[in-house]
Amino acid sequence: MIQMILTGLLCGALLGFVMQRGRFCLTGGFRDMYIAKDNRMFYALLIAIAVQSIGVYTLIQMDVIQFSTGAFPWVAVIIGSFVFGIGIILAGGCATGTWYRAGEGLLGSWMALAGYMLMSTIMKSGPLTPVNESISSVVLPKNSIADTTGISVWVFIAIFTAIVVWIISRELRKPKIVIPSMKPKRTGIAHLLFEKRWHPFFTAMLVGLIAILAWPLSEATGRMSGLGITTPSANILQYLVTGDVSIINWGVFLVLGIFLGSFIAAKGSREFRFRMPDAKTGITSFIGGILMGFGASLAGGCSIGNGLVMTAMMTWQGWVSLVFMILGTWTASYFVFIRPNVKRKTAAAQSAVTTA
Amino acid sequence: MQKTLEVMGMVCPFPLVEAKNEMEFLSSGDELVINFDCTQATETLPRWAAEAGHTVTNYEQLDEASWTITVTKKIILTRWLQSSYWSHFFNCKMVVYVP
Repeated sequence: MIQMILTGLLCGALLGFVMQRGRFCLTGGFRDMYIAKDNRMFYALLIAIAVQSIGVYTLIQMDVIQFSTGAFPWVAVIIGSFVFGIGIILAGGCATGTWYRAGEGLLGSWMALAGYMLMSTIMKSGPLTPVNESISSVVLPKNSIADTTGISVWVFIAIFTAIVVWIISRELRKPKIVIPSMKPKRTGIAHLLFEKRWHPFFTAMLVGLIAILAWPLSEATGRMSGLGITTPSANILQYLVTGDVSIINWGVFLVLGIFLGSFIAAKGSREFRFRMPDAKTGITSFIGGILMGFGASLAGGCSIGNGLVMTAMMTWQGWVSLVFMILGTWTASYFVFIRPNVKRKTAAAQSAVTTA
Repeated sequence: MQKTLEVMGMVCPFPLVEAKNEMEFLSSGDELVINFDCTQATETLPRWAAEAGHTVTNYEQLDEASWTITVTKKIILTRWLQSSYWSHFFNCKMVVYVP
């Protein structure tokens, strides 16, 4: 138990700290691919996937950890991921993002988190369990891309890594624009940790390494997977209402650690303050949280569980989920950001015509 | 002219969306002061300003999780004063004006 608490909190705190300082926001990344035609954060995610994939499969090869991919509940993954994508746009952050923004003191994220934990519990052990189970029962037998094709997983890892390296080199060769920054007030390690802007690719590398670290730490406590957010978030609520200690696992301390690590990072860089959103944003965040909980429970993972971990494990679940998650964020982005802006512009143009 | 945009309490990406909208109504050389408290905007606002060619004349942290940034709108040249217009015309990579 002590080991579970310590390693879980440590791994989570590292992740929370790195994500807060590196501004590692997958929701923003997926959204900006569409509304700003900016793929940087998506590329950063691919880097994190590649790093983790190489690391974890090396550990599996060395028999340090075990992993079985199971079956592929394709209907649940497609519907769930799409709904999850809509949810994270409304909530203003993915599951992990919501945990770390909660650590920055954003009360809107606390509301999203409440909706997310509640709906995940309803889906996993509450009245919607039959719905979840019946949709998830439509499965394809093989989840691993390597098993389906009969080609070694290392071939896929090699091809994927080559693509990622090519993208990085192309991105880094683009002419650099100097991005204005604030005058540094600190020096040395305090400047590097709490002030300096981190390159998203550097942050992604760290996220990938932490994702590797999660595997042996988690498996040492009997939880046979890597980073995961949704099930542990539901476990917290399940434990709080039942008092059943057996529900507690490594993942619970991981998510609490994310909150803690982000709080330390934000406090240290003078970025922590309780911030209350207006009523409309609060409600939207809560509804977003509900959709996130529904989607992630159905899809068997969020942007971390499916988008970062199951993709790195080279499974159909991971990659199909990532595609539909992104489509969900684009759909929601159209209604939340693009359409209101177009309407405003046409209204402005019309009033200009009538006054002229 | 200077215009102040108060987006305290707004979460991303709304500070950036509002700033972009506001900028359209300003003329070259006008200043837009943006006061914000969304952490992610400390990255997205200066990046947008730099990429769009505007100048950041002031950028500082006001207090715990609150910042201000002043963006001066770029001078917009007419088409034939832009380097890209002539580089296309001469079919070369870049035209450099030597004063």
